[in-house]
Amino acid sequence: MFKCSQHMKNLTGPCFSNTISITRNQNVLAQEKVIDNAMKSLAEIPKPKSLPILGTFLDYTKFEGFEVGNIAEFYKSRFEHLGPIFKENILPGLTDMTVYCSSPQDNETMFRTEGKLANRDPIAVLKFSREKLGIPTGLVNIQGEEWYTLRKIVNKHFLSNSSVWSYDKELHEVSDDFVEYISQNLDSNNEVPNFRLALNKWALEGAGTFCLDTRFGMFSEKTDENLQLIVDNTALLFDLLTELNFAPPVWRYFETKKIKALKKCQAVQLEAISKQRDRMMEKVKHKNDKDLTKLEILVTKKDLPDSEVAILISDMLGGGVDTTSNAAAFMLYVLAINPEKQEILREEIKNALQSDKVDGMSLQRMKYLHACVLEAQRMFPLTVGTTRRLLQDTILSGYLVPKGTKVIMLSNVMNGQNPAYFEDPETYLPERWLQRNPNIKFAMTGSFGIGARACPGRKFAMQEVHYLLISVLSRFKLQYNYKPIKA
Amino acid sequence: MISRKCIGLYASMLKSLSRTQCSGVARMHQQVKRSEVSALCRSLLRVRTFHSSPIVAQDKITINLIDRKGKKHTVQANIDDTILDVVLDKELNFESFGVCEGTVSCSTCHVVFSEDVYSKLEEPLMDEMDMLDLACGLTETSRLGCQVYLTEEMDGMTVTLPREITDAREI
Repeated sequence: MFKCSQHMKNLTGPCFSNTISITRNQNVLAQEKVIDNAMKSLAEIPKPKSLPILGTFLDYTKFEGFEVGNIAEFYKSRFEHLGPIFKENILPGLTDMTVYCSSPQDNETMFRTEGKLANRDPIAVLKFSREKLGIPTGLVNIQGEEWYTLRKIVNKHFLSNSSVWSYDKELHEVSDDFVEYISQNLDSNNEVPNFRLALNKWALEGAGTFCLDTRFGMFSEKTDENLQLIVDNTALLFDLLTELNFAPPVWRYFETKKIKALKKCQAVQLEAISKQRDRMMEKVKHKNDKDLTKLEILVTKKDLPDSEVAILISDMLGGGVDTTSNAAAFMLYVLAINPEKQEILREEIKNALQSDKVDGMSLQRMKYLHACVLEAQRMFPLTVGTTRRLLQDTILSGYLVPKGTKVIMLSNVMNGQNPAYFEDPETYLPERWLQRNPNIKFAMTGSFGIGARACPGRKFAMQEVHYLLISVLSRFKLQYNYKPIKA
Repeated sequence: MISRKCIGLYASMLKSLSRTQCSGVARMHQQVKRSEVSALCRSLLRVRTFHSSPIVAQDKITINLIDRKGKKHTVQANIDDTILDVVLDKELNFESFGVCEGTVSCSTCHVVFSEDVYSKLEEPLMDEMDMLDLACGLTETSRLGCQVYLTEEMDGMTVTLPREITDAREI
């Protein structure tokens, strides 16, 4: 185990980006100074070949071999051709000119200058459908002070350690149930036939504890009808959003079948969530204030408007199920193909289980476990990029990008495999995160985004994965005997 | 952490208890003068006052905080509070300090300790490490102020805020 003092030593030295290791005032001055001398403008940023009316839309069709699943590869080739920054307008008139950047320095500039009210474009189709339904558009779709006020309230539930850690018992149970489910479903080869489904069930159960204070009962024979309704519509909502998000926004002009389905499935889901919430409120009535769970406090709190509660829960489920189950799948896969690292982690888990009670805080002391998760995220980024709309003129890779421009940062997909930052990037080496180095920051590879609008569920998701690894590794040895999986 | 808080609470309860004892003592002193009670009684009083003083001394310490402009603030702080609690309690209004309100989601409460104090602190948890990763002007003795709880041994220590704004969120 490394010592903390050593750790800190490695953190000092040149800062990640030269422009950043200065005070804010100096930063603004430096920005202004560079702006004076800036030779390059937005117009000079390289762009891919674009047709007069169709823009670059054809590149995003099957006709050109594009697939949503390979979007990271697609961007990689764009960066290879055009350099670390490029701009593109996929469908002029329907979409905005967007700047794509990949360097860690640009990533950090964005983080330092975005301000407390960082602006992130709404999920247009989700916002549109909610407006049509006449309901609040939710945390992901609002901006400015309105967003900040709501985010501040939910941060207490999402991000304070006391809240996240208070779910330790529930999460432990969920992971133990998952392990039990697996052991019952092993085939004659000791393999789990539909592992993905099992992981999805696990992620749903985890999200259920955090979002609804309940178990969905996915591992048992019988499920509650209302809860099943939530589960089904959450999955449907996710699929519809993915499809609609990557297609041209025709729904703005025509009431398409898909948009109808999206509206219907949201209405059903929200109704079911509200029903579940009523059950929760019923329980709250019979409880003392001090016995309330963190979620009950959030939901019953007067500062969170009633109309926002079901939407918030819907967003929590939408954002926290598929992502977490994918994260867990890659995590387990990477440990399966690296048996010696798996052994080191198992040893740490064994010691933790023997010496002390495993809870939220003790998990935070398990350095190898944490490093294993960070390293898996480096190799298998879960999200493609982070989107922001600039609130001020910003210099990215030497170009002056004006206020109001949409910027997509793809640092996590682009740099994780770069030998300039990660020596021997093909190798799964959790050890590289034990002694951190100023050139490789976790935010460079993490899939949660950074800054004020970073994923609010990140701590909870990490904790879910930690408990899963503890339960799985303390009972099973993982192996994978098939073709390698690409990131 | 909970147990720490409990101890803090217990200490302050004791403190208020000892305060009432003290005023009782003062009143009794007057009576003593008037009615000349026995020496035994007086020695009992002495024992009581002796007990109250160390408890009062234990739950408050003095710390110095040097702000981003280099100005020194000397404050009385409660043991078991975090440095962020102290800054909020004393309304020190340090520029961009503690933006995420102790949820370990930013690095604005980044503070620098002297080496001898730093070496006695508990190791940071991993979420704090991740956030320190993004802090500017990081030193070998840097920590997040929201994660460091005050102890008796920190009496008289000096904590320095880095000049750099580590996170532009509060602009």
